[in-house]
Amino acid sequence: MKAIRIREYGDASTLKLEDTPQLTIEHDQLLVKIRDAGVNPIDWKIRAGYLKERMPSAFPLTMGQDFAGEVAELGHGTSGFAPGDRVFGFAQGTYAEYAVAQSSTIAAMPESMAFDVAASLPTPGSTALQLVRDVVGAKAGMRILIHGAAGSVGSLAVQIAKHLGAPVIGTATGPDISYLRILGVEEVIDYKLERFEDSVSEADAVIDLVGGDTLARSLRSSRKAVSSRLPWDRLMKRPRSARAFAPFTW
Amino acid sequence: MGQINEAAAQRAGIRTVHVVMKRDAADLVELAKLVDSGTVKSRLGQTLPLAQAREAQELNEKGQAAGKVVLKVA
Repeated sequence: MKAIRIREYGDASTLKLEDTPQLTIEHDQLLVKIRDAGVNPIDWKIRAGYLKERMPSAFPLTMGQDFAGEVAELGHGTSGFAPGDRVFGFAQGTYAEYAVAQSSTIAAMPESMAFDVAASLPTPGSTALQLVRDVVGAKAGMRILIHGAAGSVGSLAVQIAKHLGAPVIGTATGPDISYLRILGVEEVIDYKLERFEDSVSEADAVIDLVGGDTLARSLRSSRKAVSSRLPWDRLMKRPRSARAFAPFTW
Repeated sequence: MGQINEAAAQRAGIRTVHVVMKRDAADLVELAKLVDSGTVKSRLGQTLPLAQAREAQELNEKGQAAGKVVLKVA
């Protein structure tokens, strides 16, 4: 089968389209035929070797973790799915014609959902849902400031927060400003034109999907902050009123 | 990504909790419902063939894609 693999850490030129051996599945696993694969920041962070200490890779490594496709084969003891079922979720090595998945990390696709839509959801959607619902605990009336609100995680986080009744303040710039207005973000801040500290009164929670000094600046005006980036050296120089901080990684 | 300096955080009066994304089928089901009902719309950007994985990752890495980059395999 065809797969995009790397044999060493490095820039995008390390990605090679290769013919690889057919995959075999074990007990409790499924073989899925990939239709679409979502491209996530974690993919190139792994490729570049940024995560090699926490998650060492064995080479050759097939890239990708998000997919939408069809069940091709079921391992013994796998229940809940049948060959041909349209499914999406997480698997190891989804930049490929086939991948091995666990039934605990995939779900059925609704009939009317397109493969590209489903493939766009697993990592950004799970991140957004868990950040907004579980980490921040969004509820009606809670004001949430989302930095990077127009990105893959951010745009889903905005919509989930609104669904839970939480008004959203979002930062973005350029054409993304009008996109956030369409999403129904109550206050849209163009981070190139204004500093959010100057225009936003205290938020109940901050979700930082940007990094840099954004988190440290946010901690001065909110009691609860969560970040998918970890600028610790800078953060510690400006602690002030912060009481809780939850770094989020995936 | 950096590491959490627990001692420094404590001195600064910050309570830290480290959260890792869970790969949970129940959350996938929830996401599918939210999208299927029209409550949530995924922002799709560019779709590229599998053979162009290099360009796809570069688009994502440089933040040049307005919306999600997806690889079309079949």
